[in-house]
Amino acid sequence: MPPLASFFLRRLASALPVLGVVLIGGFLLLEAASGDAVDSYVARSGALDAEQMAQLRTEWGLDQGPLYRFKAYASALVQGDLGWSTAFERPVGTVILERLPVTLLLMGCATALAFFLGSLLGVIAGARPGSIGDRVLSIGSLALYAIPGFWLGLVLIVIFAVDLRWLPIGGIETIASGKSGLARLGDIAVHLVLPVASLAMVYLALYLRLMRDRMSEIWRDPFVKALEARGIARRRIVWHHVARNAVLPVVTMLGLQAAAMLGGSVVVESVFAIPGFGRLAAEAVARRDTPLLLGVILCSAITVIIANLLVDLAYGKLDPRVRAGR
Amino acid sequence: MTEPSVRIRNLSVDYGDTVALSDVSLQIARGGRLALIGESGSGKSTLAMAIAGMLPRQAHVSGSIEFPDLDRNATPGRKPKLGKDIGVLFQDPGGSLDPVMKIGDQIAEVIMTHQGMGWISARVRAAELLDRVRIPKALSRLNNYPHEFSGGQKQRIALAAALAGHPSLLIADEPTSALDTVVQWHIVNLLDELVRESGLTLLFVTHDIALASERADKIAVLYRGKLVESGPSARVLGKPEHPYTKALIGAHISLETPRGRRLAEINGDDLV
Repeated sequence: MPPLASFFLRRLASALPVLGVVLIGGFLLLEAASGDAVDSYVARSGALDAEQMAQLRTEWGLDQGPLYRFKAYASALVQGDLGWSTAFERPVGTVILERLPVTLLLMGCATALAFFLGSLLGVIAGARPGSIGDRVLSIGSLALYAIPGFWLGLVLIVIFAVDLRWLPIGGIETIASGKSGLARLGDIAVHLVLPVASLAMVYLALYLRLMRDRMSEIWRDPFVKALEARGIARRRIVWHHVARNAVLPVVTMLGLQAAAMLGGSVVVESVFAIPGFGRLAAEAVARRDTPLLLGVILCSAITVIIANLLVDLAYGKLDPRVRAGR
Repeated sequence: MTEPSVRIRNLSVDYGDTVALSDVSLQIARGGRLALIGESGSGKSTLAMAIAGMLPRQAHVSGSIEFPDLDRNATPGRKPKLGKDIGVLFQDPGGSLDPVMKIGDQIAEVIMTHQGMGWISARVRAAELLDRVRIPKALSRLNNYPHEFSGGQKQRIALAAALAGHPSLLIADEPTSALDTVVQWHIVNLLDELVRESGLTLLFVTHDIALASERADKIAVLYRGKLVESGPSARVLGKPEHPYTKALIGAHISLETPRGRRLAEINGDDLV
């Protein structure tokens, strides 16, 4: 087997116990919450008498004990069946597949924006630590870091969607616009601008600061003095040596932030009324829809594991010392 | 007598209240090998860095450092270019190389900067340089990273990078202090050979008197920021004039030093 494929498989295998723990934890938490799916159903749709409620509980398997239900869920899961969503009255797999791409698109765009723009500004600040440009960027990033995403989202909506009317107020695309192909892509892109901006800003500030701080440390590294002694141009030292070394912890942070970004998307999706994965999780909890929630948790966990795997691969490419040790 | 490679007149360096060098005048002959010796804090590294033009920005410098060779070739008073006119080799071999760049590229970038060569010919040149500093199978190791080499090999690579711009003066700041004895010996031999072959002027800073006496034709002794003695190695070490030089020779330990003999201590108050 090629070393890359075996690395991939080994990482997935080692993640299996983590997935198990995550699933059991999610199941127990929802068990501990008061009320069940039938209570939630009744609260939404109104009158059902006690007999009908008992009948519904039998139909959904809620008359059985938690251990039995978890075993039933797990054995179906092993066969690739994610179960039936009581809230949506459709298979969990279908619901998730509908929602996941939207969130991945939102997260991917926000991560890319935060990483590239953040580390670019970080290099500019870190090229001359202590200079005016560095101070402006550092203070700016601190301010940005202190702003909560949902608040930023609301402010952006008021300015750009309500007052200026440049951008749509929410949603992921214009409903029933009949657009297709490139026109539809453009429509989605326009809808993504504000949510991506409000999700990315905090992380942008984080990457900027990380890059800048690491660079100011690397300037003191003896190899930089050796480069100056060889007459290498300052511009080249900044981009090819100092920034190149400083990007390593930023890439590590990228993996660590994947989970936080997923959490942040719950908030941003609610603010912008985007039918995404984050809002699905919130709905699953509100409707006490155990199979749906477990499906959401499982997919989030897998997403985070894959994100970290990609980061590790990138890190191996960037740091020759790690590659040798793998 | 020919023009010296470096002429230093009344050089003083201080950092506010701390005086690092005071009133040092010294010449380094072209193609000569000068050893700067002295204890830690004597100002020997400060002098070396002052010549290289690499003192920290806070340093106050007075006096003059001239490079007659450069004046003759081009506009008078031109400042020497690091890498092209002066090569510098540092003490810590691990710290001289960027850990995440291939060593071939690190040498090639120096060649590209100073020689105006393209990437491919610079890489070929880098392989030649690695071969000259005795890295085995140089061509196949261009794509290796610094961590794949031993300490002595890293110092050879750093030397190759320091020489890549064809400098006429090489400043080596304790180039072997961080290496073990056998590796030290190899590096010193290599340095010696390269200096002879290419007519380099060598200035090396050391606290190793044995090394200085073997490899340098001139020795300058620094003590508390002052140049206390300088001259041909045999004269300085054979008939030292200044009490500090005598004390320094007395404190020297070598394999011939009898075991159990108490080494002489240097008491600074007697000397000034």
